[in-house]
Amino acid sequence: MSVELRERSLRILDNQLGLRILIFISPMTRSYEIFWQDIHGRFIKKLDSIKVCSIFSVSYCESAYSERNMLIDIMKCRDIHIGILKTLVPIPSEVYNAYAYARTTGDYEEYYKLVKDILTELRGKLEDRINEMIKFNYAEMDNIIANFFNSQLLDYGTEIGNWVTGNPLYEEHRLYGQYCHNCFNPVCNDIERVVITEKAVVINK
Amino acid sequence: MIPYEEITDVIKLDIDNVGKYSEEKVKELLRKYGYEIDGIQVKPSKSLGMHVFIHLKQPISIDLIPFLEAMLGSDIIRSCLIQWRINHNAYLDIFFNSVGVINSRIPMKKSVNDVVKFMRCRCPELLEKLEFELGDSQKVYEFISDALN
Repeated sequence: MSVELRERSLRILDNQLGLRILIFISPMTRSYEIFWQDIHGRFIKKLDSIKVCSIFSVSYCESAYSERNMLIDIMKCRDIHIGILKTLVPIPSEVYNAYAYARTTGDYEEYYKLVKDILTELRGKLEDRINEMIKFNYAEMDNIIANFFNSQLLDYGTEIGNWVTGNPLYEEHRLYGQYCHNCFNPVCNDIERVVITEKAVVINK
Repeated sequence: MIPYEEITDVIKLDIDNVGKYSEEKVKELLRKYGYEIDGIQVKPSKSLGMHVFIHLKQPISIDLIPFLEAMLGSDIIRSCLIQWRINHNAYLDIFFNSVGVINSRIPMKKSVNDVVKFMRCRCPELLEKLEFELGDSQKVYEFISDALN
């Protein structure tokens, strides 16, 4: 997995998973935008939150993209979602001001400079995390995911939970599935427990 | 922000230059992107062009629509405006009616530079996505130039 800094965006390539990920700053929404594409050129819906229910629904509605591959992608790359990116490098209000100025004057130099500074910092922080991510044991992960989909009697939610809690990288995510959808804070009181079943994801609030 | 659940199973193309439209090319591109087509309807538009309704077997995310429509040959300015409307969570189902927004800033001459400038200003997301798909900014220029001619 590599992170490439472009003029106004970051591109993440993961040859192992066959993923291309585009990250850029949307001045309109004052947020990061993430655009995913698999190795065949198929687009994966942007993952701008950790709402597992949405992610799974994507796998059912977005053409032939298999649930299994989707789950691998999510487990491997879920650190790359807008909530995390915003935590790593917040987008300052200057971005919108610079964008507004650029729109008015047609001079985008200052805006793009600011964007590049933010993305440079983000790249550094993402690379740190990715260095941790590549320590994953792919075979182990693959095995667990295979079980996840192959066993009809499996308690899917528990299985994922066990894998996540057993992995020190995701120690901070040990409450996986209990994120507040608004603030992404796992200890926020407004949590939702996500229960994953074979064909659907049910949220119990 | 557009919520996750916002999906559609219809892609609508506004084709101005009928001679450049190729249904085969559309099918091929959608196949490449992994989408199955349920049916395609073509209707003449008031401006001697045509409107193409591509019905998909599975619904897709609404935030892919501006990008897909642009790639499939729809009026690029219209794609920009749809992107703009998505960004502002505005009512979307106006694809072939008066857009009614930011008309004063829409480039009337439609040179490549005007369109790119407009995209930078109003829908940088679409510009980034096109560049991601096509490879680099030069290819985006060529793509837009081809779309406008």
